[in-house]
Amino acid sequence: MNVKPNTGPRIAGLILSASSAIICAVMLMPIIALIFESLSSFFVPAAEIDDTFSDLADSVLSQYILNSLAIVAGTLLFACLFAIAPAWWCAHYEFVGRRYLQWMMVFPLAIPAYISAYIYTDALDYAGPIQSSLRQIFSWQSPHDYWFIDIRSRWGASLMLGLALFPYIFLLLRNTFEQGSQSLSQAAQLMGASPRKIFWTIHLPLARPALAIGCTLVAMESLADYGTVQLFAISTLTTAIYDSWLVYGSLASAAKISCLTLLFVISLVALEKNSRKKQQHFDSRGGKPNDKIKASNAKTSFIWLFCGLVFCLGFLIPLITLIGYCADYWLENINGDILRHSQSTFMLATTAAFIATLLAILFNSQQRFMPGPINQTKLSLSSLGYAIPGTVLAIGILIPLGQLDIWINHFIQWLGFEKVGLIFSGTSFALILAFVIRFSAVSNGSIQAAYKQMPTNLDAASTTLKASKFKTFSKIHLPIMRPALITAFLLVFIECVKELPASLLLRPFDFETLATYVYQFASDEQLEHAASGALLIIIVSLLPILLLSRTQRMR
Amino acid sequence: MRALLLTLALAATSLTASLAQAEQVNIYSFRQPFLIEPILAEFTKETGIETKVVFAKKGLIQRLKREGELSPADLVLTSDFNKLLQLKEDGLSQAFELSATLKSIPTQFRDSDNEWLALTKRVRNVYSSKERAGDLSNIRYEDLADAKFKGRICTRSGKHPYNLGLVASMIAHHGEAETETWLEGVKTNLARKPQGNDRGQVKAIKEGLCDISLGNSYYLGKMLQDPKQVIWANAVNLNFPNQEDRGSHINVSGAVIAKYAPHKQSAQALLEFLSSKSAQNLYAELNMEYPVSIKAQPSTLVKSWGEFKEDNLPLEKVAQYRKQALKLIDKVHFDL
Repeated sequence: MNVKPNTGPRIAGLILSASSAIICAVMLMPIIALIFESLSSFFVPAAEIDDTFSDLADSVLSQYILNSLAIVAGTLLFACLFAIAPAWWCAHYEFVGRRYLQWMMVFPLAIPAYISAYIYTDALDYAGPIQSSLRQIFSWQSPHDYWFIDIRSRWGASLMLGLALFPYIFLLLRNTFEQGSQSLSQAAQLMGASPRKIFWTIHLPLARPALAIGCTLVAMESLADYGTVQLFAISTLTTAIYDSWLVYGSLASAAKISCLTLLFVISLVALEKNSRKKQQHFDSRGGKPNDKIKASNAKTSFIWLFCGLVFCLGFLIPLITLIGYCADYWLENINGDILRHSQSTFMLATTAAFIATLLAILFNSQQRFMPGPINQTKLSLSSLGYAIPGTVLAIGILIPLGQLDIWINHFIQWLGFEKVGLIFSGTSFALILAFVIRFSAVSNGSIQAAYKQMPTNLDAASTTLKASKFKTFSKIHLPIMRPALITAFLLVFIECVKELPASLLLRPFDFETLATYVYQFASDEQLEHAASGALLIIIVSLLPILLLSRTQRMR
Repeated sequence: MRALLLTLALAATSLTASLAQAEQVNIYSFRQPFLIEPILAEFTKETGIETKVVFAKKGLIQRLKREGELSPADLVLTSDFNKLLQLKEDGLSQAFELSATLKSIPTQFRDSDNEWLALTKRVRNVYSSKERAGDLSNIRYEDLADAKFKGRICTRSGKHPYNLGLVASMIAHHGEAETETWLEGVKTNLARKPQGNDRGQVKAIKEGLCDISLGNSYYLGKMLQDPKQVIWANAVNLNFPNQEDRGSHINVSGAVIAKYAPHKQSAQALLEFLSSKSAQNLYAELNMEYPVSIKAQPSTLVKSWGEFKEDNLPLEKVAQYRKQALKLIDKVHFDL
């Protein structure tokens, strides 16, 4: 038999891998530009020696590092506390209202940490209603008469960030637990293991990749947080980057601290990867989802009590407070512009989320079909943007895009036309690029978790049946990871709606996102006047969550 | 290929054409839009020139630098003098025409090369509790380090431009070493870690957390207008420091015309408008700031706070110490 070698797929593969390499390079561009910029001081003799970094290192840097580490650790602690048990309950038990609860636990994602931080500071501060009434009841005179939690502390910031970020871990874990191995747990049950033991020895270790990815996302997000720590007056590495750049005016020093932050992230990821290097476990049997165990009444009420508390803290209380602000400052809050801002926010977030999801599929499927150091590197590099604080990323994007615009303008003038202005760096293009770079880690995480769960022997079987890679992908991978795709889109969408620092800096004239609109008031501690905008952020973010819950229920 | 490029170029041109045609002025603003929008609306009404604003508290200077000659910005509005001088130093501004209106601004409030212009003055005041602080009308900034105020002072972050300006002026008057000792003294006297904004400190005084705070005077006017904050405002006295010697520290908000302003004429027109008597009065009435123009008057409310002596040390002299000021604040761990 004479089989003609088929070159089509190989060329397609080459094109794909080349394009992913180019995309990867584009995504790294801001970082490279920043590093280049910070090194340029070595080549161009500066008028005065820039010793900002050593000054900072001598005075405050160690304290900043300590604060950053403490906040990351604290946030992880709270996020795991709020996420792991509820994810297990929702995946493993059947109880009254489970369908609602499993979506309610995602709602806190719709509230940006800086908004709930603002609200809780207002309520729990010394001058806030709670402490004031306590003082009245017990007739305390001064702060020295009693002890009260200081919300503007590392613990407070960790709690706020934990409440805003735990749904990441919850979503990833719930998906994993639901697809978890029934046969293994049945075997364990037969051998007399208690449900508790089954959870700790089978389900949790099986979910470890998803847990690790979720924790990495939460850790990176809390490391790059600016709004919350700024409000709480806690100086972190992010603050140091801002200060040395925008106050000291030293880009070199800012870049050095950024590199330090990146180092933290990279070691974090490496540590996590290394610890589960040898683990590889799939369960190919029993494709159907777990049968849920009916929860007892006591268990049901405990579940609702715990999750209800988390839901109230993370969603309901901030929401009600915002509605209260809206009512108190009604006149300031009715504003025709707000609808326009929500529309532009929605468009922007949809576009960015769509692109980020597509890219995540591209990078992850490549690593799946052709595992190797190159593709793994591409995948890791495309997630790096998440660790860069928004403002730094924004400037990093402006450097190459601005240069590109200058070239284009020169070229067009050479062709004999008028200057066209900043067509890349001065339009929504820059903003969308920033969103995609910053949040690709989120979509990557979600899809990576799905692939980790998918047994590789499915691919082998498909290949044996002479299916092409494309066919394997479209007929097997895509249907299996549909929930993960939707999750990826959703998470990126919500992140984009909430994103603040990069939007502030990159948005074109006369263009506001809801977040930038709300921020101009919140930054002056007058969130009350823009409460309607904050409510719209929440509604716009909730919309996809609700849609998703509907489609999933129908299936 | 060339045809394709031409089509692309045409498409891009039509996309951005709207940006170039209409008479307009593009503003990069460090000041919050709601503070300047009413005044800009008045400008559009008077001249027919549309205003477009990008607001950010940080990073606009960096954006301007990156955009270079293609920057769409015509005018940059700042809320403190350090940024005005930084814009000039970094070569991001250009000279405006010194017309008759602009001449009505006293010389210490405009650049000798006409590259920046102050629009409003703000005083760094000391707020004090009516109940607990007694009469502090003779207070000096130097006194804030005095042991009698131990645990009684509140302030926002030392690195906020307003405090940074004050520390720079202390260095200008007393030198670096003395200012460091002073800063350490103030730090020991703090009732809590620096946090929040100027209004938040007044709120803390109302609640009894501290007795004294640093804050700009216009916030008092703003709080008196807010139904919830008026009780905070009523709990404090406003003091003008250093009246017996050099006078109170003055900061300014201001503007520069961007180096590559595409609509320089409109930018000049806006600058003229902002320093005209009517706009200066609007600043005074709406924002309770002190107008820089000698023709305009502070609002009645602001006037009722009394006449006061200003520190007349030129802004350039103060601004040259901004980096030292920042280093000192970090060195004494003021914000930590």
